Amino acid sequence: MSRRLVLTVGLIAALVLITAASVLVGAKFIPLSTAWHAIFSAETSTESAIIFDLRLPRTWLGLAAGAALGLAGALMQSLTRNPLAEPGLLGVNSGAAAAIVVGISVFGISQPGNYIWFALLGAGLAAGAVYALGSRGSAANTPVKLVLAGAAISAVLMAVVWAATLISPDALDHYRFWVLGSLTGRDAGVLAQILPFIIGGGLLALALAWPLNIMALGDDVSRGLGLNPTAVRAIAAIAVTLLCGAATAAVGPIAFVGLAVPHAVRSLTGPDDRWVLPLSMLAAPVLLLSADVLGRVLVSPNELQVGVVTAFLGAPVLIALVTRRGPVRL
Amino acid sequence: MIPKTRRRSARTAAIVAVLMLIVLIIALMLGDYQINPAAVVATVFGAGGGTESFLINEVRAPRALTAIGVGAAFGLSGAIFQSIVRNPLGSPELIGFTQGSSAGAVTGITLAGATGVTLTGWALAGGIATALAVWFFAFRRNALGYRLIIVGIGIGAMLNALTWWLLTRANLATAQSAMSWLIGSLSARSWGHVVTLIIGFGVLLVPLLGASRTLRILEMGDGAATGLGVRVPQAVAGLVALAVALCALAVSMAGPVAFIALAAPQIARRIARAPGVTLLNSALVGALLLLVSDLVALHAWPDVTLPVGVVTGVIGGIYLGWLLATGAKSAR
Amino acid sequence: MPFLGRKTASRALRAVAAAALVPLLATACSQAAAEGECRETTPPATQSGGAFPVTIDHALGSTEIPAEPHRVVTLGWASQDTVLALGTTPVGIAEDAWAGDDNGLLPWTDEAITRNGNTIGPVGSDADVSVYADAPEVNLEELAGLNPDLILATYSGITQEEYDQLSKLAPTVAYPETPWLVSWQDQTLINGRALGKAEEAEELIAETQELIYTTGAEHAELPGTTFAFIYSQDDGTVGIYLAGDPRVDLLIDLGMFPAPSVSDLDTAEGKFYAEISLENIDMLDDADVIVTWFNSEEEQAQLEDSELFQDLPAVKNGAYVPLLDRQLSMAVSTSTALSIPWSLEAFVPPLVEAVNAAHGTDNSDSDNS
Repeated sequence: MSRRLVLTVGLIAALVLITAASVLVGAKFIPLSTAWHAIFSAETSTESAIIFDLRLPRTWLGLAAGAALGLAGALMQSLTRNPLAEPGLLGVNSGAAAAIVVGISVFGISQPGNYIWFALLGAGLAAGAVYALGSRGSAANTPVKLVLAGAAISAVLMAVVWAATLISPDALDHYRFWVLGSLTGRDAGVLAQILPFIIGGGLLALALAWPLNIMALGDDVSRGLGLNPTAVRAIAAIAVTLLCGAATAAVGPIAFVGLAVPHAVRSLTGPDDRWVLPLSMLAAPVLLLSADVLGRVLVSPNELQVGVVTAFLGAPVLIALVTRRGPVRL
Repeated sequence: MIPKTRRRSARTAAIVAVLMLIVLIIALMLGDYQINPAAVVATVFGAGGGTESFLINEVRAPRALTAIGVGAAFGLSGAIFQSIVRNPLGSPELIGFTQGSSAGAVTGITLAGATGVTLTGWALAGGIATALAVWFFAFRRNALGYRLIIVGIGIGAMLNALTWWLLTRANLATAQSAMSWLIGSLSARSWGHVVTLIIGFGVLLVPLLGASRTLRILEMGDGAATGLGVRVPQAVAGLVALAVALCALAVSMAGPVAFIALAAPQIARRIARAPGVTLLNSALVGALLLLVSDLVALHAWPDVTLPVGVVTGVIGGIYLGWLLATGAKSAR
Repeated sequence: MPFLGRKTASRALRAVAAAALVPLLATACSQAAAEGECRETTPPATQSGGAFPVTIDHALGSTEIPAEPHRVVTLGWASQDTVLALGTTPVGIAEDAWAGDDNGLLPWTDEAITRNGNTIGPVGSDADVSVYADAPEVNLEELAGLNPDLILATYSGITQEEYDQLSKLAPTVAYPETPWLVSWQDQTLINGRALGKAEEAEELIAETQELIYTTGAEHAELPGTTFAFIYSQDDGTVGIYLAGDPRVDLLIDLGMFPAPSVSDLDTAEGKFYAEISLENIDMLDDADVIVTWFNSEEEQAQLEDSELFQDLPAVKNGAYVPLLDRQLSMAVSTSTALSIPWSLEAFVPPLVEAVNAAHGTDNSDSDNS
């Protein structure tokens, strides 16, 4: 118990620190005093434009998308009883990707800020199709069926993505940046667009922590305790789709965050979802914003996209943590 | 029992082989120039000339034969992996070879303008280095368990990020060329590719015959295998190396074409109604799948020829859907 | 302003040197070159028949062209323009999926074909010039149907495999060293040699170069003005083209020079652009003029809405040239003997306007208008 508390306090502190760093550190060096002045005085300057127009929006976006991905990943791993599940398994990422390349090559959209509705629609449709496919026949909606249905739909959708990017140079030009994942190049409106989805999905997800704990004991026990397993799974799938769909629409498919963070958190807290879900929600933005800040300073005056740094920062940590501590149980 | 299964298996092999021959002839006929079967046969045996001879003998025949060889190699590679991990979702991707070769190839294309043999070198170097890294970090007594998967996921995420980052840094035209490689393509394959495949299979024939026997023994369970004098960890390591070599052969000839390695062994198993994965049938089904996919890629859309990997992606989706429909009892 | 003087002098020197290379006759008709009427007055190449066999070494091998080609197919970008400018009509041209018109051709290519009464159509039609798709993959069957006796892929990204197969169809010339990388001068020269018109190609280069210099000389405001030619990317970074890139070279040949901060950027060898974070866009403060291109208006709004971009002196002064027309973007980025006259006509007026705006504000500081 105390270890979990220490972890919670540590994560909150880390989140505060990295949020501050995200505002103060960037590809352009701004001395602390100048930054202080730029933030708290009314006059506009290059520095205040950098902080208010570039760094603050990407920080908010990183916090929101990170929290959504961490929560979605933790939920997905509980839902599928698979400690290596990622939130994209329901076809959300490939659905968003296919909708975006179709949007670019057929409807001529071309800016990440305008992908949002296409991506949300694609993610929702794909997840719906996966759920429909997975709930047919015997053993409907078992985790295995959902994962297989997700893989099947994703395979076809990715073929659509390949074909579109091969035929339309514009689609490839935009897709290659989108698929890496990035917190920049989106205006503030994007956050407002995704926030309702993330808040809704987040409330659903946190409410599921206790039912999911019981579900871990098996469907029969759950039913005995008055839970409807099918309903819990359906609500969890909706929450994952809302969270991951909104995050992917806003910043691209940084799915690795959703896999690695809950997995690592679970290896530290144990399988209790009342801890895993909220702590994943705190830890994922720490990883995402750390990666973003690192990406700004590593190749200054240029920047590295956050998706690249996330993979190279998160993967070694995941491998080291998990191979040392052994398999994570659910 | 066993003779009956064997007979069914042999019959399946014969049927698939005949189908393959029919598709091969169709592949030689179809194109911007339709050529009738009689003319195809005549041209193959040296009659005719000019454009027809060029199209059949230099374009269509080597391309179709490369498809057969590459499909067979992927089918074999997947069959060995699925036997070892006893899971219909096993494929060479588990060990990171394809992601590694993609990252290697894209590095070569975008940073060094590599093509041809040089590009193959980049791809193989990336693939082998990744397979070794995954093996090094993951190898324990239970070599293909949890650690392998988590290390594979981690390294795969890094390679994927590297690949796409390089593609964003390249100019768009170069990125387009790289995409074709990434998806897997049989464009402009020549007799050189066919000869390389024949040499590759020649070298791997003896290990393949040995693998067939080892796999049958391993299927009885680790205990029984040990009782029969098989040292399981070494045998598994050897089989993985063979599967990677087959995958490397296929990838170096056509790029990382998706899903053939995954789908071919299971389709072969189910049409033969055989209990285990058989190598010969997996190879034949893999060859047929890729040959048909390439035909679709070439002729399904007017005015556009897509890389074959787009079509195998759809086939992968159909295959997984079929697994789902026929009951995913064994898919854990 | 010693720097400005030196720059002008060196430009003038280069113009003189270029002129000296060109036979008198060609110089005389340099004005007419844009209209394409010049070819009649040029003496027929003495070695038209004697030039062959020609051997050309390139990245993917060495190609021997045994006799004068009559059915030329071009692959990739730009080569078709050179072939047309040298008086041959290709039988097959690769489409431009990004900036091409309904036929898949760029306007100056289209004009050069149709001016002689030739028709354009897809492969398999009766048109004189067939336009085919070379992406995502080269369709060997289509090319075989065109019956080529020379394939020019000088500015392309063909693979070794494609080259090997194409070579069985007809002698094929690939890029000199790196896929999608060749200067317009080299491209013109290589394709000229392949057609047995090496001398005409050299003349063509000199004429075109001369046309750029003349245009620059007609606008006294251009020399000495600093510029940055930039592009924005989806990840919020800004790319800056460097010397060696055709866009930058064109502006330098017109007499302008890259802003010092841009010239100082580090980049790898063979790479003609550098990237910076939008946070650092004030590095471009020393550019009098900023030129950029966009894929779409959405992309344009994304960059122009940024306060940091609006704060750049060049943008504040109205000395900012956004190119939204893809054909114009293509004209300035993929220079050819046909595209350069076209782009000078379309691009120089807005450029001069921007330069005037830059200098106008400089002068107005004192009279405070």
